[in-house]
Amino acid sequence: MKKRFLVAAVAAGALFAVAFGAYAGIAKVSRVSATPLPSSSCGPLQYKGSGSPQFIIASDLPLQGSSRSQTVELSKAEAFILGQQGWKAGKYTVGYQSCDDSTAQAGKWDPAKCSANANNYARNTSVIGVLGTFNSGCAEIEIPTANRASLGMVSPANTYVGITHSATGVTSAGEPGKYYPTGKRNYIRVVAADDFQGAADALLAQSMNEKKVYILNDKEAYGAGIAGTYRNALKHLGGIQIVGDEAWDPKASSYADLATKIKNSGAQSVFLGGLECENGGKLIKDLRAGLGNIVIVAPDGFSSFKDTIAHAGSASENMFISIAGEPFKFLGKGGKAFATAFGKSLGLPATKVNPYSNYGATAMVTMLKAIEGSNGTRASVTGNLFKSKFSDSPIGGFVINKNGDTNNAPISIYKVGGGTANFYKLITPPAKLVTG
Amino acid sequence: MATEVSAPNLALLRRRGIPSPAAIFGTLLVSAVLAWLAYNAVLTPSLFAKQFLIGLTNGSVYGLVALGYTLVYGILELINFAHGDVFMLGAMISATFAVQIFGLGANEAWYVLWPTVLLTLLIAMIFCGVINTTVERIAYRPLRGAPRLAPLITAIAMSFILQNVALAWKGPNYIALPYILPQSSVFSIGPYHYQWADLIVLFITVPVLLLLTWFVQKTRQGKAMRATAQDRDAAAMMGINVNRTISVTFLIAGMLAGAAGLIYALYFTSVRFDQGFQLGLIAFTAAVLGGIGNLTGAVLGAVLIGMIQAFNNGLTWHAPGSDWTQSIVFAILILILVFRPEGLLGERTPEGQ
Repeated sequence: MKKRFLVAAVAAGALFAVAFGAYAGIAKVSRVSATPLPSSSCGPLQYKGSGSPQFIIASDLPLQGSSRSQTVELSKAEAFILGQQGWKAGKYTVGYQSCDDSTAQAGKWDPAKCSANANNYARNTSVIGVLGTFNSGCAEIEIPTANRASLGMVSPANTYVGITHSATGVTSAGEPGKYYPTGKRNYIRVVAADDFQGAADALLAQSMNEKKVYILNDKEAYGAGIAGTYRNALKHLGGIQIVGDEAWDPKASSYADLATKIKNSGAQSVFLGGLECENGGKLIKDLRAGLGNIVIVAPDGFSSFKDTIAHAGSASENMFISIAGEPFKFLGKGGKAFATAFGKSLGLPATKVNPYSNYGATAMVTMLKAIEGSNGTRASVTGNLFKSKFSDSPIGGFVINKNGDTNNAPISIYKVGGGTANFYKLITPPAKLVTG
Repeated sequence: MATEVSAPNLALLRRRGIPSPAAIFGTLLVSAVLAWLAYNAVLTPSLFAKQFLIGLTNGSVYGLVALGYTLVYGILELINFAHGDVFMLGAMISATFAVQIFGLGANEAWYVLWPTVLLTLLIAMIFCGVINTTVERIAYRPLRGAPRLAPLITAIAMSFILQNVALAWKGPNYIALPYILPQSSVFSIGPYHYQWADLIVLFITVPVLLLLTWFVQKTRQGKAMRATAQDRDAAAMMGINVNRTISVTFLIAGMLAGAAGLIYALYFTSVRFDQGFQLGLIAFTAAVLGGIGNLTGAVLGAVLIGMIQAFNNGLTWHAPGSDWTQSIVFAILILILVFRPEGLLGERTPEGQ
């Protein structure tokens, strides 16, 4: 009797162990399907693979305001790459949600929205990685929250230097350490930081034999940062005098007084460190009205060409706009293949694909590779992001360093003419000119 | 240890002809500003003259908005925060009619430009007048006997409602207009040009101010407005229809906002849904600076604010620069409220003393 009881107990135990093991195995392999992020900030969960997705990649971009045309296309580029890869990263099935960090009232990224989004990503364990942000000011808010949750972020567009490394006269005290409260990095970017773009714009000024330049910024992290890198590069180059360096007030009705002051300074060129959505169109109009044919140079904050030209009108003619990356004709095999296929999906010729779409696609490729090589945990994915190394991608080959920065740093200069932005020249700044 | 100057001591100082610490501080501040302006004028005379003209023109536009604030405050003692947003809607309707419907562009012939601009002006004035009267009827009149805080909060709420209406209508981006007003030079000061567009703003503001002053001082309706402003109950006992008089005041203030909106749209060529709030605050500061309730004071205050902005942004010798413009403008508001609450041209009242 005792023996029978012992056999029955062992059998029951074995049965329980098998049943539990089977349940645990199912749980491990097929994981409960991903919980979507709230619709208050994010679009519907996109997934066209088999079954349901195990993980979500969230995209965080300002989908309203003057950068909308650029960011909507960028978001489509990210989803396009995921679709090309069968909604999978190795053995994991992955869905995609496009989230908005802007508000209609602000017409651009909004600090409260960035904070709310970051908390949503951190809390939702289905989110395995974030592609974003677009604006550096928003990244400053989101990175620490994601950092505490070991959540990896890949930005296709943040260029402010202080997010990843320090630079004299550009970054604030405590940067970039204050963005990583755990002491472990969780953020990389596939776009070159502003120290490259500032240097390229300074080289542009030198190539045009300018002797006096005036620097303006829009008071935002990005705007003040790019103005700082431009200033540093000009000082390194020597021979060009900075005759003025101040902020423009995005809420001002008119910049006629500022234009008059710039004219009095004798500047041959004005650099607009900032975003077009900060009343940039009006600023360009007033500068052109007050300063005639002065050279106007703007960074990628004005790279939503359609909006810049629409808002500034004919005053934008002959202005220069720099943007990280290369135009279609300089792209490698991967870049051309992506632009052609993606352009076709939108009904656009490959040459008309916005350069930032290539960065969006590259951000997705990088994230998918990190997930593929991971054990399915956020920490593992984040660790893999810092091992990213590509011989070819939609932006060409690149390596991510320990700070999370890329070594892919060509800067394209566009010149507005005939109501469109036309490629002018490609500048790859030498390392000695880059402040970082 | 600091010595406190109590109220009786201040009265004693006044009686002995000794200026109060506030008066000494004010005199020193104004003297320092005048000395700074004089040095800049000597250092860069043509730049100074150009900034003066820019300030005068911008201030004139602010003045048209400030007149609306001061009219409504004069009669209801209500700071109508929605006024700036009515002005912004005026700018938007002007942009819509002038550019999208009438198709005005740069370099139009005068016989096309002026009739179209006048027609747009009429539309904008009627549109804003109707909106302002409606706001008064539905949001302020029911609160006529309520504590002051209630209509003030309602005014702020109306401001946000109108902003969101504009946001839903035109979206979050700036609406850019071409240079419709003539940009050719009237005269030059050194390398700087004064354009016809600048002069047109003055040509509109000055007659509007004169017309409004005449209306308030000389007409029957104007006298009713002044009587209602002085004592609403006594005015009613004298047979004045108080509600109608207040409605007419809101109608005139709205029409001024419409005129300001058209000028703003055509002169500054850029309009956005939230610009009314910012410009409204500047105009309100101007009205307080000049003496709220005083029409000439409102325009004077607005011109001074315009000049302070232009000199601060545009002068080169020790000018704080555009980083500090807003801080300076609103610091002036605080200083005025603390040291001279009745404003530059306002009368001392028991409340204002």
